[in-house]
Amino acid sequence: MNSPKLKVVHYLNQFFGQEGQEEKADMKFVVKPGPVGPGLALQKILGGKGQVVATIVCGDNYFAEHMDEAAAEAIKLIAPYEPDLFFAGPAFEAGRYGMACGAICKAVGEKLDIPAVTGMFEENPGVDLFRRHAYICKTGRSTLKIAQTLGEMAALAWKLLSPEGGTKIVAGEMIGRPAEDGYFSRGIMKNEYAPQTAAARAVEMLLAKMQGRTFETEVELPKFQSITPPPAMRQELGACEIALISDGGLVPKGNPHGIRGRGNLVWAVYDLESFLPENYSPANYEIAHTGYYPARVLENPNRLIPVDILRDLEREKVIAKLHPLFYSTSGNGVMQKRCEEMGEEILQEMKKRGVDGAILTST
Amino acid sequence: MKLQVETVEIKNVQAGPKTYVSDHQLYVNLQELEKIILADGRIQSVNLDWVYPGDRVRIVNVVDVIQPRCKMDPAEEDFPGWLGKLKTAGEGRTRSLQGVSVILSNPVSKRSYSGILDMFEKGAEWSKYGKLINLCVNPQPAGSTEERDFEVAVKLAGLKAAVYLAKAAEGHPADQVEVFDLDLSRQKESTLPRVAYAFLLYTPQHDYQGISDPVLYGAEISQSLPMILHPNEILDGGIVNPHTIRGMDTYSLQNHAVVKELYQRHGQELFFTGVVVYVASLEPVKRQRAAMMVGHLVKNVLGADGVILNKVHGGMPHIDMALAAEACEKQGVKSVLLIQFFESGTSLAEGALFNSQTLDAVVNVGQTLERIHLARADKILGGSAGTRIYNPHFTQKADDAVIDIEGFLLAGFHDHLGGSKIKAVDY
Amino acid sequence: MAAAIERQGFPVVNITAVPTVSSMIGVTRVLRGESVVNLLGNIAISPVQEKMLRRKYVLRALEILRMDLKEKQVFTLEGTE
Repeated sequence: MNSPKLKVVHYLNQFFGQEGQEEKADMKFVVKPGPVGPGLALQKILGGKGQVVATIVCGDNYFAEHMDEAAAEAIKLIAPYEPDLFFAGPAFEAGRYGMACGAICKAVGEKLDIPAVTGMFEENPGVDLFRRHAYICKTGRSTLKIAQTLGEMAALAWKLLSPEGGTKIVAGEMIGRPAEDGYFSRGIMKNEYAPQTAAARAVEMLLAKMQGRTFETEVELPKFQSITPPPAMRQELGACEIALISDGGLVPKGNPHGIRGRGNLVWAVYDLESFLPENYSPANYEIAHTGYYPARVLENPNRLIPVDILRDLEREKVIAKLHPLFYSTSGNGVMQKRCEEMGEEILQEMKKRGVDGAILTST
Repeated sequence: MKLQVETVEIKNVQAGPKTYVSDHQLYVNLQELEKIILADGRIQSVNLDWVYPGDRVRIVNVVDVIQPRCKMDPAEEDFPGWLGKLKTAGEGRTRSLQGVSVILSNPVSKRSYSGILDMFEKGAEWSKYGKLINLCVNPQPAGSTEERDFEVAVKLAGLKAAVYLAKAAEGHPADQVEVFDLDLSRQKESTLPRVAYAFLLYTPQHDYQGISDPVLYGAEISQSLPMILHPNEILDGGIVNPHTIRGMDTYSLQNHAVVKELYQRHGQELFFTGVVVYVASLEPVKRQRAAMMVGHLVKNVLGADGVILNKVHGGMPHIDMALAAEACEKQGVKSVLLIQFFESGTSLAEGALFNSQTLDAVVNVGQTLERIHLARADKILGGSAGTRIYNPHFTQKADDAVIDIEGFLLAGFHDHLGGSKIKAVDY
Repeated sequence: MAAAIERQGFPVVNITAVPTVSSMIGVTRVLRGESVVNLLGNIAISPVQEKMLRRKYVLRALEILRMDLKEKQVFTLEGTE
């Protein structure tokens, strides 16, 4: 009990920060010394272990209207206190407040590298947006339970700071499990040690399944939203401009855009006339994709992007035009979210340039 | 078929003029082993070094780990199709040493993935081989030896070392005797639930230079259609790991966790009806054909009511395995799959590559690409301080202050055959 | 990426040698290719025949882009899976 008190900074909106209600939603940041409002309950919970040294307050609208700048401003105000721990809210169901709590926690986690904990109800839009970037405790709707929620937030914070906290983790970081510690899963996975080997767990699971007993799968299968098939290209082929996209990692030798062989984040555009001319040389290409043996494609890149055929078809006037630009990326082990973003970005480019339809080749 | 594995525990290893085991001490004349290895003209010289748990040694260019084992009867063959003549593996008596393993390095390997093993701190803590006394076998090629030919010579050197060490225990009483006795033709007599094992043993997607490595009785199988094996063939040297460690090695095959788990419960909770071995396909039609045949063999030939499926390292094989499992489920055979993950920044559901409703029983062997950090070693074996250690994003060398590698390259850490307790969990 | 493009209502056809993954994600226009390592090629036939094969694939892809689909489908050169 002789360890120094941890320094804590707390964020509250205009209401909980005792400045006013909706009429104060536009207020800029103010900093108040020590705990304020629910911060007093938080201080009680922290007891001798922690000291709320400052409370920063701003209006819900002020934050919502320019989130990035406001988050940066918050960091400027928080950093001088050199806190060990940061709490925001909790916001319960309040949407703007939840967004502010989430955004500030994210910035604190990234810039100050200390645990940042808040609390929200599952329907709060801040949950989906910030669950990967902050520790968001699960709360009910009602703000009446605020003291209890602050207790849960503090308990999670101690776990995050303590060396024994929740570690069955293989790589040895301190972290508590979402289900056990009441926070929204951060959408990441970590290796843990289970009590039994995978083989033993598999045989037991199979016997349960065969005997009709209940069992719990270790991996819930993904659910995907169904997509309405886009309308077909309306014009005759002879009037269409067709573009080529590929996630097979085909790039010029030297990989000038640094497309990664695994876990890639970027896409690039290459002018097909110079990138894959009729008299191409296999020596001019690389495959930035470690998931398949690349030699066949390197021998003849048309095997991945059928430029030779589309050129022929353009010449024969079967299609109006082969779109001059090739959109290239690598799809090996890429996070779904980034994959979708890249698709949208490439689509914007194609639309801008009047493409009618695309062929996307994957390995 | 009946296999009896007699294990002798080795507590310490010492050099000596003669190679033998006495009172759990292994005495080894390394010069004798060196001569045996150098009989292969493809090998110019070989380094043989013992390393002990706690030594600040890092072994690099690791291409395999092998448990010392030998057949006890002269009529039997060690690692048939490799060292020994072609004779079905998995019968008779096999001597095994516990507490020692052979760590095999290829110092001139050009393959991009390089396995490593540390004998100290975290690397040793995480790996099951870091707790053993290990013989590092590190051959150098004779001038004219062709690259792939040398890879085969390296493998044989490792197998020879494994056999040589096991032979030392001749005459020493066994500390443990395991009997693997399974007559597949008797399954109809049993009223127990019948369980088969479908093993996706090979994927050609990462083939070095586009050429497949041999795995089964010395043959490569990337073009093979699904086949049936007796589980003893897996435990007794019928299958040897390809030339890269990727969460699997010969030692783990010799101790195949799923096979041993099924054997343990055989005759009590289940009847182990046998093994189907198949490979992943680059062509969609081949993939479908293999899946169909696996489903048929499991159901109609092995007569199974349930099946465990697993696979070697790779993303694409999840699809092959899922299709095979679906083919089984379609015929009323219940399935459980063992899968791996590749990407930490997603939830488990996002990382699965299939979502058929019948595949509702999945076990995971962990995120095998999760990065681990290892401290600097005092000594490097199997390579040099400048040996490149694979990292997907940057270059690093064997004696850098900290090594950052994906877990599947640390020998003895991850295990696609189900032998580790690592499990990926949503956070 | 094909899924993201399709969600915006733009016609795209995904040629892949692992059609089950694209289909699982929801991609509606999927054309099964030859091989993971050689999507629109084949080393077992002559270069001339290979180019003819590739032409068949491209024409099939263009045909699919001009088809009205009610629900997702995996197409092959000859028909559907």
